[in-house]
Amino acid sequence: MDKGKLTGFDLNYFFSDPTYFLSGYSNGNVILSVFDKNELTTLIEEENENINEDITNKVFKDIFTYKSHKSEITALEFYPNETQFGFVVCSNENYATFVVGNVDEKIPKFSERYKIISHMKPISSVSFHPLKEYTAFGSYDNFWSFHNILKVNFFPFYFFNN
Amino acid sequence: MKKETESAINTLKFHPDGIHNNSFTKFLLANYK
Repeated sequence: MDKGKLTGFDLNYFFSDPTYFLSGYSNGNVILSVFDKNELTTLIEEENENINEDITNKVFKDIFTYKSHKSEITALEFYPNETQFGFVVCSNENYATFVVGNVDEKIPKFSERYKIISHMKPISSVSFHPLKEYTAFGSYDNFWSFHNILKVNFFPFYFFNN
Repeated sequence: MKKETESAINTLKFHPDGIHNNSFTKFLLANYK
């Protein structure tokens, strides 16, 4: 399947072993992938000039595809927390979602914890306040907005690994 | 909370020292379109 263009990327600094990263695409899909840093170090130190897709697929493994958004991903960022795994996804559809999940289980499960629907144009950037609870969003609609993405009542929408 | 700005926002980041400031408004609106 055509993934489209890569339009967003973020590396998780809060869960370091294994290491997770997100890739967002122009078709709205977001892929959560993982790599083992020891395997990556070995691959780099071998200086193998014949690295092909089979070799990289062994090191970088896709574990979940989040398919809620249907247009280009405009901003993508991991939730800065060492105990709660989550990330924020913004797209050209003028909204953003805060997704939380459990990656420790054999079958990772994710749910939408909060949705930002207060902007009239795409959200261009997201920034987490150092207190971790509050998040700011900047948009092409000439507004920024603050949200408490944790202390709100929102009926979560669940996603299962696919 | 929502606030209008002078133009479209390309990039917005909290100031890294924001945790030392009781004000929510200490952040950078770094890059306007």
